[in-house]
Amino acid sequence: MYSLTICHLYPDILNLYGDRGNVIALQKRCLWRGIDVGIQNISLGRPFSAEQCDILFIGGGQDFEQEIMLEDFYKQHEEIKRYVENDGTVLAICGGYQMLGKYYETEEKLIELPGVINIETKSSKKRLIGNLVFEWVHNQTGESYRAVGFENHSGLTYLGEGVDPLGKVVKGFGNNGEDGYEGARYKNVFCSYSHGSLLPKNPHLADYILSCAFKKKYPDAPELQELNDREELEANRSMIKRLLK
Amino acid sequence: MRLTITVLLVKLLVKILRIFKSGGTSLPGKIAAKIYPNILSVISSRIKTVFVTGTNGKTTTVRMITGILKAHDIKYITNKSGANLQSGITTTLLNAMKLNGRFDEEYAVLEVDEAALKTIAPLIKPDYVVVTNFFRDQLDRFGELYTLLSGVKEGLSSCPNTKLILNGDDSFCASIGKDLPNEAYYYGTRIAFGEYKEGSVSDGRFCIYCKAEYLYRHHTYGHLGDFYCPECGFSRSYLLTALSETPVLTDKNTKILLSIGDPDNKENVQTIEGTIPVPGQYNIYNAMAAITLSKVFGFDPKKSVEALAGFEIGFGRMEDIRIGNKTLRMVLVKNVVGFDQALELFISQNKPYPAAMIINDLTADGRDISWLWDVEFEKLGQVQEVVPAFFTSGLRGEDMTVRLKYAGLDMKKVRLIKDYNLLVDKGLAITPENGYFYVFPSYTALLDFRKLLVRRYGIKKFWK
Repeated sequence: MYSLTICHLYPDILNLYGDRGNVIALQKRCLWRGIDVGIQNISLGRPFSAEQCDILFIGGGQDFEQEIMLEDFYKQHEEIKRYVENDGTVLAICGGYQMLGKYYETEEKLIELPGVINIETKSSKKRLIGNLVFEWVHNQTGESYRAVGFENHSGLTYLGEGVDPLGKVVKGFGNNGEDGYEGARYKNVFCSYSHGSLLPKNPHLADYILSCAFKKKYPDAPELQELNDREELEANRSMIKRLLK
Repeated sequence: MRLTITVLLVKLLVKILRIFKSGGTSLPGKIAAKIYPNILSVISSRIKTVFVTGTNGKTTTVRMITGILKAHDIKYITNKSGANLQSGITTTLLNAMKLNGRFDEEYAVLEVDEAALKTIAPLIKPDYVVVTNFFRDQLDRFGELYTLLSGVKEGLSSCPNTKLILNGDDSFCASIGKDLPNEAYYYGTRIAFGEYKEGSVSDGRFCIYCKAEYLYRHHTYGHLGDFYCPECGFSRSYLLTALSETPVLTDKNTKILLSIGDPDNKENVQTIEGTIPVPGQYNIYNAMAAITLSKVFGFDPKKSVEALAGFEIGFGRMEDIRIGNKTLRMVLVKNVVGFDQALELFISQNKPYPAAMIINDLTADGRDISWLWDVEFEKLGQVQEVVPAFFTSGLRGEDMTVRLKYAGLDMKKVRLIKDYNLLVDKGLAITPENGYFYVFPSYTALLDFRKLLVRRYGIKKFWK
């Protein structure tokens, strides 16, 4: 029997916008396919181990609580870096996305970050809030899809060399409201500003992320089987229709 | 003279807007503020003012307070229909004012939006402020909880003479009392109730002063309970009103035992038994808030507790509408803790009652519906054998359906019905005789849904 382990980093702190829906989506989409799933909550003081993780999930939190966690994150970052460089699959949303970068700059201070991927974030006075639609391309099939979510961030993120955007903004702000890009892709790392939660109503993206993790662990296994995504796609379409009319 | 004209105009506008079947709660206030910019400061000194603010329970608490005033034959004004922003409050006060610039009423008991308190408190300088709790809610509008809390403190900092009535079980509320020089009175629990689950503290886990993790002598729900910080020692203060025995919760009411102290003599404690005539754990806190305020007013707590028994539930927070021999029960849901508590109530029935979840994403609902993923719909699995159907509806009905699918519910029982008329028909059709049809609407969905019920069944309009 196949099995995957999802590690949820600081689920008790980075839990601001219902991002655990992403973990639920990944878990259910495995279980529906007969793939066993273990979920490991990695809280403060618990070490992350690259060998025991197939998908690493990081959500967003409130500034007050994020500060509490940063110290711990510094202790974990080398292992996370090793995991990422070794093609480990990561999904990071909003605050979790920013945390993977090199720094977060505010008017008062510069918060140095471990730089797991080559991105940087600057805080802006204006919060970017609203529904977000972006178009992303499945690297293996070349097909493009429209994902829908909700963004709420004051940090503006800029991608450095070697990092690709996750998609192009169709409606909303995305990374910084300037360059038209949303999220980041590096190796098997997926980053996005989309809450919603992102994965439940964007099932193709959920499966793309799952397949990255699955293929790495079981290179000879057959492709993931199709699921009946009627409700998910209906939710996706109805929102896109409303937003783009 | 300018005041008289403004009062007259507001009264006229309210009348006109009501004829056109619009609630008319905010526009007159906006116009009044244009004509007479500092009008709130001018008129508010002419009446005793009570603000009720916080994330959950504002409307219900206001209703309980006014119920107590009524039992004492004291006249009051209140902003009944949830018109809790500056314009709505201005309308409420001016519409009640006599043309001679006086009030017949002794108290204005006002629900105040927790984000708007920052600007309204310095204008009105209320005599009393009740703060119910802080939970994450509508992050798209309020930003972070900590920003919201600072705003409340900032608003109150210009009112040093205001007496504060605070939920001592909520560390955020308790910090208001600690940070401000005001006289503060607390209510809370001396005993646990409900089923506290490990990991359910998602807001306020860490000490607001030193960032250490709080410990609890006991929990009720969410982050509420007898908390203390093991590092800096921050903890709740003396409770003027305390729940002293495990409450008895049924689907119709809650029996409580309160011990009520005396601000002037802590030895002088009265123990009073009472019944809150509505179900729901959260109403225990709401009732304690109202009782504490009445004690600070100087009322006999026994009489106040008795008055609670005749309490009339607020617009839609939970409202039963009899249709033939069936009852449609509406419970407003607007954030994670509120929805969880509403589901808890539904599950505790364990009866073959249908449920409908109507989710909108307009500004008043919160445009971001991500929070639905933090609500424990998974626990509906416990009753899905007996529940005939889970309906989903509203602008985000599709999202609600997806949430229920991932909660593991049997999709044969989940039905998306966008048309409210059809939803009422289908829901009532499968509601057993003498049974309930549970409807959980978000704020604007409640307004629309209720409008339909007014049309179909002639129930009273909400601003009356």
